[in-house]
Amino acid sequence: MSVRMLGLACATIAVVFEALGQIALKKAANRSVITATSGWRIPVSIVAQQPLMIGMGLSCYLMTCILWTLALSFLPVSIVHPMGSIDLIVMLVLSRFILHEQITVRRMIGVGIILAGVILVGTN
Amino acid sequence: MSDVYEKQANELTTTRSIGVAGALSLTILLDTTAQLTWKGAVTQVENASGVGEFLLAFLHQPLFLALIVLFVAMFLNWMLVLSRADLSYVQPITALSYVTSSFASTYLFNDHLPPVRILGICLIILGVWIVGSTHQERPCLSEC
Repeated sequence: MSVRMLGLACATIAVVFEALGQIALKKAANRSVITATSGWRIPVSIVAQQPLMIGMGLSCYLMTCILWTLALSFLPVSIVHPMGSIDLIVMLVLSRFILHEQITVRRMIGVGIILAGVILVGTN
Repeated sequence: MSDVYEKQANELTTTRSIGVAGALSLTILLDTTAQLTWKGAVTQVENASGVGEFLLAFLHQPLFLALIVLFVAMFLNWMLVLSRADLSYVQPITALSYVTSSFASTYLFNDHLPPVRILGICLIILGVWIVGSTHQERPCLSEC
């Protein structure tokens, strides 16, 4: 396996882990019964009610950090950085199929335009 | 009577929207600060030789401590955001941090801002505006 392939693999798995981490955190928020109306009591109560989901989410983030650093050591930033934007698509798909959120056409168009923008900013 | 209830419900929705917008702005602000702090911390230990020495020097940075504090604040704030809106609504909006960090690094580190990047920034803002105009939270199709 070439260094380039290894870098691409690390970046891809990093993106998947990041999306899974977000899904876990959102699941924790969805499953919590929120009685506090505002302030810092809301996040604290979510952590207290769903420690497992939160732990899973944060572990995924740790994996993302490690894999991302590895990817950056194998490939130039101008390739790795735009790859991070694939995250937007992965997240949209997982939000629909795991969290059962309603993804409207308008939201899809918005995400598509953001993706194009992120790629332009990242590669230049 | 139903008018009163409707008015209360509307007010509640408005308050929540402002809450989400505020927390999202804080997310972008903290994200940008963290990125710049990270860059600053890495720049200061650049001449370390080897991974071990680099890590050790990095962990001894005062900026590293600041990063830990920033990460905790970011996590708590993000959970607040997630408790109030769809993931597919808030996640794309955080792409605005590309815009803020582009401007910040142009200003702080004298980075060059080429026209193509300005075009990218415009596209991100347009896309965020479109996503932002959709409903923050909709009833789930089945189990969330």
